[in-house]
Amino acid sequence: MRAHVLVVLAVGFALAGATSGVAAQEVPTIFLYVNDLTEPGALLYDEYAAIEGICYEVDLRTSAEIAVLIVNTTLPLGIDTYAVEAFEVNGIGKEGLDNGVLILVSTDERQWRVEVGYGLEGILNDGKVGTIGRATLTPSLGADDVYGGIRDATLAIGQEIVDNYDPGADPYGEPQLFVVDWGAVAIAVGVFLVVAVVTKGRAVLWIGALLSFWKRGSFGGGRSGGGGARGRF
Amino acid sequence: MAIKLSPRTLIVLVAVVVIALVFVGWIIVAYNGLVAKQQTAAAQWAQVENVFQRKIDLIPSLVATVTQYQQFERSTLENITAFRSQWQNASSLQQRVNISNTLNAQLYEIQLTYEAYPELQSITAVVQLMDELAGSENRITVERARYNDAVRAYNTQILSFPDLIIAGGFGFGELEYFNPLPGGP
Repeated sequence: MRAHVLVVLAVGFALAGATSGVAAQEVPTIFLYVNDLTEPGALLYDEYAAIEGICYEVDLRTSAEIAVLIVNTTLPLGIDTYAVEAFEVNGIGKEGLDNGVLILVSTDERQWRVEVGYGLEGILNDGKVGTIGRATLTPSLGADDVYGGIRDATLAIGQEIVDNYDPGADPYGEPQLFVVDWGAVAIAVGVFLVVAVVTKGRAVLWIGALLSFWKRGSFGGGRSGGGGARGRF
Repeated sequence: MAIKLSPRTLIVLVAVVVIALVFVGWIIVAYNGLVAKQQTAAAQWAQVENVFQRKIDLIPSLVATVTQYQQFERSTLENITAFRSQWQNASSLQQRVNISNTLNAQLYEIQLTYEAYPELQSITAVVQLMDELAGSENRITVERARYNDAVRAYNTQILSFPDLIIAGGFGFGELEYFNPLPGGP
Protein backbone atom coordinates (compact mmCIF):
# COMPACT_ATOMS: atom_id res chain seq x y z
CA MET A 1 0.00 0.00 0.00
CA ARG A 2 2.80 2.37 0.99
CA ALA A 3 4.49 1.69 -2.37
CA HIS A 4 1.28 2.66 -4.13
CA VAL A 5 1.15 5.98 -2.34
CA LEU A 6 4.79 6.63 -3.27
CA VAL A 7 4.13 5.91 -6.96
CA VAL A 8 1.15 8.30 -7.00
CA LEU A 9 3.21 10.97 -5.21
CA ALA A 10 6.08 10.52 -7.68
CA VAL A 11 3.71 10.97 -10.64
CA GLY A 12 2.23 14.03 -8.94
CA PHE A 13 5.66 15.61 -8.41
CA ALA A 14 6.66 14.84 -12.00
CA LEU A 15 3.56 16.59 -13.34
CA ALA A 16 4.08 19.56 -10.99
CA GLY A 17 7.68 19.82 -12.18
CA ALA A 18 6.61 19.72 -15.82
CA THR A 19 4.14 22.56 -15.39
CA SER A 20 6.24 24.83 -13.12
CA GLY A 21 8.66 25.62 -15.98
CA VAL A 22 5.83 27.20 -17.97
CA ALA A 23 4.80 29.51 -15.14
CA ALA A 24 8.18 31.33 -15.21
CA GLN A 25 7.64 33.06 -18.56
CA GLU A 26 6.52 36.69 -18.49
CA VAL A 27 4.31 36.62 -21.57
CA PRO A 28 1.40 34.21 -22.01
CA THR A 29 1.16 31.29 -24.41
CA ILE A 30 -1.60 32.17 -26.84
CA PHE A 31 -3.52 30.20 -29.45
CA LEU A 32 -5.16 30.75 -32.83
CA TYR A 33 -6.37 33.56 -33.03
CA VAL A 34 -8.20 35.62 -30.38
CA ASN A 35 -7.01 35.59 -26.77
CA ASP A 36 -8.88 37.63 -24.21
CA LEU A 37 -6.91 37.25 -20.99
CA THR A 38 -8.51 40.16 -19.15
CA GLU A 39 -10.34 39.77 -15.84
CA PRO A 40 -13.27 40.31 -16.19
CA GLY A 41 -13.34 39.39 -19.88
CA ALA A 42 -13.47 42.18 -22.44
CA LEU A 43 -15.24 40.20 -25.18
CA LEU A 44 -18.52 38.27 -25.24
CA TYR A 45 -18.43 34.86 -26.89
CA ASP A 46 -20.09 35.94 -30.14
CA GLU A 47 -17.77 38.96 -30.33
CA TYR A 48 -14.80 36.68 -29.87
CA ALA A 49 -16.18 34.36 -32.57
CA ALA A 50 -16.73 37.23 -35.02
CA ILE A 51 -13.09 38.43 -34.76
CA GLU A 52 -11.87 34.84 -34.86
CA GLY A 53 -13.83 34.42 -38.12
CA ILE A 54 -11.98 37.32 -39.77
CA CYS A 55 -8.59 35.93 -38.71
CA TYR A 56 -9.50 32.44 -39.94
CA GLU A 57 -10.51 33.82 -43.34
CA VAL A 58 -7.23 35.73 -43.69
CA ASP A 59 -5.23 32.64 -42.71
CA LEU A 60 -7.21 30.45 -45.12
CA ARG A 61 -6.70 32.81 -48.07
CA THR A 62 -3.14 33.96 -47.51
CA SER A 63 -1.59 31.79 -44.74
CA ALA A 64 -0.90 35.02 -42.78
CA GLU A 65 -1.78 34.78 -39.08
CA ILE A 66 -3.39 37.66 -37.18
CA ALA A 67 -3.24 37.17 -33.42
CA VAL A 68 -5.36 39.24 -31.05
CA LEU A 69 -4.27 39.52 -27.42
CA ILE A 70 -6.12 41.55 -24.79
CA VAL A 71 -4.52 41.81 -21.36
CA ASN A 72 -5.07 43.87 -18.22
CA THR A 73 -1.46 45.00 -18.11
CA THR A 74 1.83 44.60 -19.97
CA LEU A 75 3.89 45.73 -16.97
CA PRO A 76 6.67 45.34 -15.96
CA LEU A 77 7.87 44.83 -19.54
CA GLY A 78 5.98 47.70 -21.17
CA ILE A 79 3.90 47.31 -24.30
CA ASP A 80 6.74 47.37 -26.89
CA THR A 81 8.83 44.64 -25.25
CA TYR A 82 5.74 42.65 -24.25
CA ALA A 83 4.56 42.63 -27.88
CA VAL A 84 7.94 41.49 -29.24
CA GLU A 85 8.26 38.74 -26.61
CA ALA A 86 4.68 37.51 -27.03
CA PHE A 87 5.33 37.40 -30.78
CA GLU A 88 8.61 35.53 -30.32
CA VAL A 89 7.39 33.04 -27.71
CA ASN A 90 4.27 32.12 -29.68
CA GLY A 91 5.78 32.28 -33.18
CA ILE A 92 2.97 34.22 -34.83
CA GLY A 93 2.96 33.73 -38.61
CA LYS A 94 4.24 30.77 -40.61
CA GLU A 95 7.82 29.66 -40.04
CA GLY A 96 10.12 31.02 -42.73
CA LEU A 97 7.46 33.41 -44.08
CA ASP A 98 7.19 35.39 -40.81
CA ASN A 99 3.77 36.55 -41.96
CA GLY A 100 2.16 37.27 -38.60
CA VAL A 101 0.56 40.32 -37.02
CA LEU A 102 -0.14 40.77 -33.31
CA ILE A 103 -2.84 43.19 -32.21
CA LEU A 104 -2.18 43.79 -28.51
CA VAL A 105 -4.45 45.82 -26.22
CA SER A 106 -3.63 46.60 -22.62
CA THR A 107 -6.74 47.80 -20.80
CA ASP A 108 -5.15 49.16 -17.60
CA GLU A 109 -2.48 51.26 -19.33
CA ARG A 110 -4.98 52.15 -22.08
CA GLN A 111 -2.46 51.40 -24.81
CA TRP A 112 -2.45 49.36 -27.98
CA ARG A 113 0.32 48.06 -30.17
CA VAL A 114 0.26 46.34 -33.54
CA GLU A 115 3.42 44.26 -34.02
CA VAL A 116 4.16 43.22 -37.60
CA GLY A 117 6.21 40.15 -38.57
CA TYR A 118 9.27 40.52 -40.82
CA GLY A 119 7.40 39.05 -43.79
CA LEU A 120 4.59 41.62 -43.74
CA GLU A 121 6.66 44.77 -43.07
CA GLY A 122 6.59 45.55 -46.80
CA ILE A 123 2.82 45.84 -47.04
CA LEU A 124 2.10 46.91 -43.46
CA ASN A 125 4.68 49.64 -42.88
CA ASP A 126 4.72 51.51 -39.57
CA GLY A 127 2.92 54.55 -41.01
CA LYS A 128 0.09 52.47 -42.44
CA VAL A 129 -0.32 50.43 -39.26
CA GLY A 130 -0.30 53.61 -37.15
CA THR A 131 -2.98 55.14 -39.38
CA ILE A 132 -5.17 52.03 -39.11
CA GLY A 133 -4.71 51.91 -35.33
CA ARG A 134 -5.57 55.58 -34.85
CA ALA A 135 -8.62 55.26 -37.08
CA THR A 136 -10.01 52.10 -35.45
CA LEU A 137 -8.49 51.23 -32.08
CA THR A 138 -7.99 54.67 -30.54
CA PRO A 139 -11.57 56.01 -30.92
CA SER A 140 -13.42 52.76 -30.15
CA LEU A 141 -11.27 51.70 -27.22
CA GLY A 142 -11.46 55.28 -25.93
CA ALA A 143 -15.24 54.88 -25.88
CA ASP A 144 -14.84 51.50 -24.11
CA ASP A 145 -15.95 49.63 -27.23
CA VAL A 146 -13.19 47.00 -27.15
CA TYR A 147 -14.96 44.70 -29.58
CA GLY A 148 -15.68 47.42 -32.17
CA GLY A 149 -12.10 48.68 -32.10
CA ILE A 150 -10.46 45.30 -32.41
CA ARG A 151 -12.93 44.07 -35.04
CA ASP A 152 -12.36 47.16 -37.22
CA ALA A 153 -8.57 46.98 -36.81
CA THR A 154 -8.52 43.25 -37.60
CA LEU A 155 -10.71 43.82 -40.64
CA ALA A 156 -8.58 46.71 -41.93
CA ILE A 157 -5.31 44.84 -41.41
CA GLY A 158 -6.80 41.62 -42.82
CA GLN A 159 -8.04 43.47 -45.90
CA GLU A 160 -4.56 44.93 -46.51
CA ILE A 161 -3.07 41.44 -46.28
CA VAL A 162 -5.67 39.80 -48.52
CA ASP A 163 -5.37 42.59 -51.12
CA ASN A 164 -1.59 42.94 -51.19
CA TYR A 165 0.15 39.90 -49.73
CA ASP A 166 1.31 37.06 -51.90
CA PRO A 167 2.80 34.20 -49.86
CA GLY A 168 3.90 32.35 -52.99
CA ALA A 169 2.86 28.72 -53.19
CA ASP A 170 0.69 27.98 -50.17
CA PRO A 171 1.49 24.56 -48.75
CA TYR A 172 -0.45 25.14 -45.55
CA GLY A 173 -4.06 24.37 -46.51
CA GLU A 174 -6.84 24.78 -44.00
CA PRO A 175 -5.85 26.27 -40.62
CA GLN A 176 -6.13 23.77 -37.75
CA LEU A 177 -7.95 25.51 -34.92
CA PHE A 178 -7.78 22.36 -32.79
CA VAL A 179 -4.99 19.82 -32.80
CA VAL A 180 -4.39 16.61 -30.89
CA ASP A 181 -2.29 17.39 -27.86
CA TRP A 182 0.20 14.50 -28.00
CA GLY A 183 1.80 15.68 -24.75
CA ALA A 184 -1.53 15.22 -22.98
CA VAL A 185 -2.00 11.83 -24.65
CA ALA A 186 1.43 10.69 -23.45
CA ILE A 187 0.82 11.90 -19.87
CA ALA A 188 -2.65 10.32 -19.79
CA VAL A 189 -1.38 6.98 -21.09
CA GLY A 190 1.49 7.09 -18.58
CA VAL A 191 -0.82 7.90 -15.66
CA PHE A 192 -3.30 5.26 -16.87
CA LEU A 193 -0.62 2.56 -16.97
CA VAL A 194 0.79 3.47 -13.56
CA VAL A 195 -2.66 3.55 -12.00
CA ALA A 196 -3.61 0.29 -13.72
CA VAL A 197 -0.57 -1.41 -12.21
CA VAL A 198 -1.04 0.15 -8.77
CA THR A 199 -4.77 -0.60 -8.55
CA LYS A 200 -4.39 -4.03 -10.16
CA GLY A 201 -6.77 -3.29 -13.00
CA ARG A 202 -9.31 -1.01 -11.27
CA ALA A 203 -8.03 1.86 -13.45
CA VAL A 204 -11.31 1.94 -15.35
CA LEU A 205 -12.59 4.20 -12.56
CA TRP A 206 -10.02 6.80 -13.60
CA ILE A 207 -11.04 7.08 -17.23
CA GLY A 208 -13.35 10.03 -16.55
CA ALA A 209 -10.45 11.94 -15.00
CA LEU A 210 -8.16 11.62 -18.03
CA LEU A 211 -7.05 14.85 -19.65
CA SER A 212 -8.57 16.31 -22.77
CA PHE A 213 -6.66 15.19 -25.85
CA TRP A 214 -7.45 18.34 -27.81
CA LYS A 215 -5.99 21.78 -27.47
CA ARG A 216 -6.36 25.01 -29.42
CA GLY A 217 -4.09 25.24 -32.44
CA SER A 218 -0.80 27.13 -32.14
CA PHE A 219 0.78 29.67 -34.45
CA GLY A 220 3.24 28.63 -37.13
CA GLY A 221 6.61 29.88 -35.80
CA GLY A 222 6.99 33.33 -37.39
CA ARG A 223 9.22 36.14 -36.10
CA SER A 224 9.07 39.92 -35.81
CA GLY A 225 11.71 42.56 -35.27
CA GLY A 226 9.88 45.40 -33.58
CA GLY A 227 8.06 46.75 -36.65
CA GLY A 228 4.56 48.18 -36.28
CA ALA A 229 3.05 51.03 -34.33
CA ARG A 230 1.57 51.85 -30.94
CA GLY A 231 -0.94 54.29 -29.57
CA ARG A 232 -3.03 55.32 -26.59
CA PHE A 233 -6.76 55.52 -26.04
CA MET B 1 54.97 -11.49 -38.29
CA ALA B 2 51.89 -10.63 -36.28
CA ILE B 3 52.33 -9.06 -32.85
CA LYS B 4 50.69 -11.04 -30.08
CA LEU B 5 48.91 -8.99 -27.47
CA SER B 6 47.88 -10.24 -24.11
CA PRO B 7 44.16 -9.75 -23.24
CA ARG B 8 45.08 -7.13 -20.63
CA THR B 9 47.11 -5.08 -23.11
CA LEU B 10 44.27 -5.35 -25.60
CA ILE B 11 41.75 -4.02 -23.04
CA VAL B 12 44.06 -1.13 -22.15
CA LEU B 13 44.59 -0.37 -25.85
CA VAL B 14 40.85 -0.40 -26.57
CA ALA B 15 40.23 1.81 -23.53
CA VAL B 16 42.87 4.30 -24.70
CA VAL B 17 41.40 4.38 -28.22
CA VAL B 18 37.86 4.86 -26.83
CA ILE B 19 39.01 7.68 -24.53
CA ALA B 20 40.89 9.31 -27.41
CA LEU B 21 37.79 9.08 -29.64
CA VAL B 22 35.56 10.55 -26.92
CA PHE B 23 38.09 13.36 -26.42
CA VAL B 24 38.31 14.13 -30.14
CA GLY B 25 34.50 13.93 -30.39
CA TRP B 26 34.14 16.38 -27.52
CA ILE B 27 36.61 18.79 -29.18
CA ILE B 28 34.65 18.65 -32.44
CA VAL B 29 31.29 19.19 -30.72
CA ALA B 30 32.57 22.02 -28.52
CA TYR B 31 34.39 23.70 -31.42
CA ASN B 32 31.35 23.50 -33.69
CA GLY B 33 29.14 24.82 -30.90
CA LEU B 34 31.42 27.83 -30.47
CA VAL B 35 31.51 28.50 -34.22
CA ALA B 36 27.71 28.29 -34.39
CA LYS B 37 27.28 30.75 -31.50
CA GLN B 38 29.89 33.09 -32.98
CA GLN B 39 28.10 33.05 -36.34
CA THR B 40 24.73 33.68 -34.66
CA ALA B 41 26.18 36.75 -32.97
CA ALA B 42 27.72 37.93 -36.27
CA ALA B 43 24.40 37.48 -38.11
CA GLN B 44 22.60 39.33 -35.34
CA TRP B 45 25.13 42.15 -35.58
CA ALA B 46 24.38 42.43 -39.30
CA GLN B 47 20.72 42.77 -38.34
CA VAL B 48 21.60 45.61 -35.92
CA GLU B 49 23.44 47.38 -38.75
CA ASN B 50 20.43 46.87 -41.03
CA VAL B 51 18.04 48.57 -38.66
CA PHE B 52 20.50 51.43 -38.07
CA GLN B 53 20.81 51.85 -41.83
CA ARG B 54 17.01 51.82 -42.08
CA LYS B 55 16.83 54.74 -39.65
CA ILE B 56 19.53 56.66 -41.56
CA ASP B 57 17.70 56.01 -44.84
CA LEU B 58 14.58 57.52 -43.34
CA ILE B 59 16.25 60.91 -42.84
CA PRO B 60 16.02 62.35 -46.40
CA SER B 61 12.25 61.80 -46.55
CA LEU B 62 11.88 63.08 -42.98
CA VAL B 63 13.75 66.28 -43.79
CA ALA B 64 11.95 66.73 -47.13
CA THR B 65 8.56 66.41 -45.44
CA VAL B 66 9.06 68.50 -42.33
CA THR B 67 10.88 71.31 -44.19
CA GLN B 68 7.45 72.28 -45.54
CA TYR B 69 6.27 73.22 -42.07
CA GLN B 70 7.70 76.29 -40.40
CA GLN B 71 7.19 74.90 -36.88
CA PHE B 72 10.32 72.80 -37.27
CA GLU B 73 13.58 74.63 -36.75
CA ARG B 74 15.86 74.93 -39.79
CA SER B 75 18.99 74.40 -37.71
CA THR B 76 17.68 71.07 -36.38
CA LEU B 77 17.00 69.83 -39.90
CA GLU B 78 20.44 70.94 -41.10
CA ASN B 79 22.07 69.18 -38.16
CA ILE B 80 20.18 65.99 -38.89
CA THR B 81 21.31 66.01 -42.52
CA ALA B 82 24.90 66.68 -41.43
CA PHE B 83 24.83 63.83 -38.90
CA ARG B 84 23.52 61.50 -41.58
CA SER B 85 26.54 62.24 -43.82
CA GLN B 86 28.86 61.79 -40.84
CA TRP B 87 27.26 58.45 -40.03
CA GLN B 88 27.74 57.28 -43.59
CA ASN B 89 31.40 58.29 -43.55
CA ALA B 90 32.13 56.84 -40.11
CA SER B 91 34.33 53.78 -40.18
CA SER B 92 34.29 52.48 -36.62
CA LEU B 93 31.45 51.18 -34.52
CA GLN B 94 32.26 53.59 -31.71
CA GLN B 95 32.01 56.58 -34.08
CA ARG B 96 28.66 55.37 -35.36
CA VAL B 97 27.27 54.87 -31.87
CA ASN B 98 28.38 58.39 -30.89
CA ILE B 99 26.89 59.96 -34.00
CA SER B 100 23.71 57.98 -33.50
CA ASN B 101 23.40 59.37 -29.95
CA THR B 102 23.78 62.99 -31.06
CA LEU B 103 21.41 62.33 -33.96
CA ASN B 104 18.84 61.02 -31.48
CA ALA B 105 18.99 64.29 -29.54
CA GLN B 106 18.10 66.16 -32.75
CA LEU B 107 15.34 63.70 -33.63
CA TYR B 108 13.98 64.22 -30.14
CA GLU B 109 13.69 67.94 -30.95
CA ILE B 110 11.56 67.02 -33.95
CA GLN B 111 9.40 64.81 -31.75
CA LEU B 112 8.94 67.63 -29.20
CA THR B 113 7.93 70.08 -31.92
CA TYR B 114 5.50 67.53 -33.31
CA GLU B 115 3.88 67.06 -29.90
CA ALA B 116 3.76 70.82 -29.18
CA TYR B 117 1.75 71.67 -32.32
CA PRO B 118 -1.56 69.78 -32.56
CA GLU B 119 -2.06 71.02 -36.13
CA LEU B 120 0.96 68.94 -37.18
CA GLN B 121 -0.71 65.85 -35.78
CA SER B 122 -3.47 66.09 -38.36
CA ILE B 123 -1.07 66.02 -41.33
CA THR B 124 -0.96 62.41 -42.53
CA ALA B 125 2.53 62.59 -44.05
CA VAL B 126 4.03 63.97 -40.81
CA VAL B 127 2.13 61.53 -38.58
CA GLN B 128 3.24 58.55 -40.66
CA LEU B 129 6.85 59.74 -40.57
CA MET B 130 6.65 59.91 -36.78
CA ASP B 131 5.34 56.32 -36.80
CA GLU B 132 8.28 55.29 -38.98
CA LEU B 133 10.74 57.03 -36.66
CA ALA B 134 9.24 55.38 -33.57
CA GLY B 135 9.25 52.04 -35.43
CA SER B 136 12.92 52.47 -36.34
CA GLU B 137 13.87 53.12 -32.72
CA ASN B 138 11.89 50.10 -31.58
CA ARG B 139 13.56 47.88 -34.19
CA ILE B 140 16.98 49.04 -33.03
CA THR B 141 16.04 48.24 -29.42
CA VAL B 142 14.81 44.77 -30.38
CA GLU B 143 17.76 43.80 -32.59
CA ARG B 144 20.26 45.23 -30.11
CA ALA B 145 18.75 43.12 -27.32
CA ARG B 146 18.90 40.02 -29.53
CA TYR B 147 22.54 40.76 -30.41
CA ASN B 148 23.40 41.12 -26.73
CA ASP B 149 21.60 37.82 -26.01
CA ALA B 150 23.66 36.10 -28.72
CA VAL B 151 26.85 37.62 -27.29
CA ARG B 152 25.89 36.51 -23.77
CA ALA B 153 25.34 32.92 -24.97
CA TYR B 154 28.71 32.90 -26.78
CA ASN B 155 30.68 34.58 -23.99
CA THR B 156 29.17 32.27 -21.36
CA GLN B 157 30.31 29.24 -23.34
CA ILE B 158 33.88 30.43 -23.94
CA LEU B 159 34.24 31.30 -20.25
CA SER B 160 32.74 28.04 -18.98
CA PHE B 161 34.77 24.98 -18.08
CA PRO B 162 35.71 22.81 -19.95
CA ASP B 163 34.85 24.75 -23.15
CA LEU B 164 37.27 27.52 -22.19
CA ILE B 165 40.13 25.12 -23.02
CA ILE B 166 38.88 24.79 -26.61
CA ALA B 167 38.14 28.52 -26.79
CA GLY B 168 41.67 29.35 -25.59
CA GLY B 169 43.30 26.77 -27.85
CA PHE B 170 41.54 27.92 -31.00
CA GLY B 171 41.70 31.63 -30.22
CA PHE B 172 38.02 32.38 -29.61
CA GLY B 173 37.95 35.79 -27.93
CA GLU B 174 35.20 37.45 -25.92
CA LEU B 175 32.73 39.53 -27.93
CA GLU B 176 31.75 43.01 -26.84
CA TYR B 177 28.19 43.85 -25.84
CA PHE B 178 26.55 46.70 -27.68
CA ASN B 179 25.83 49.42 -25.14
CA PRO B 180 23.78 52.29 -26.53
CA LEU B 181 25.61 54.74 -24.29
CA PRO B 182 29.41 54.31 -24.33
CA GLY B 183 30.64 53.52 -20.84
CA GLY B 184 27.12 52.58 -19.80
CA PRO B 185 26.23 49.38 -17.97
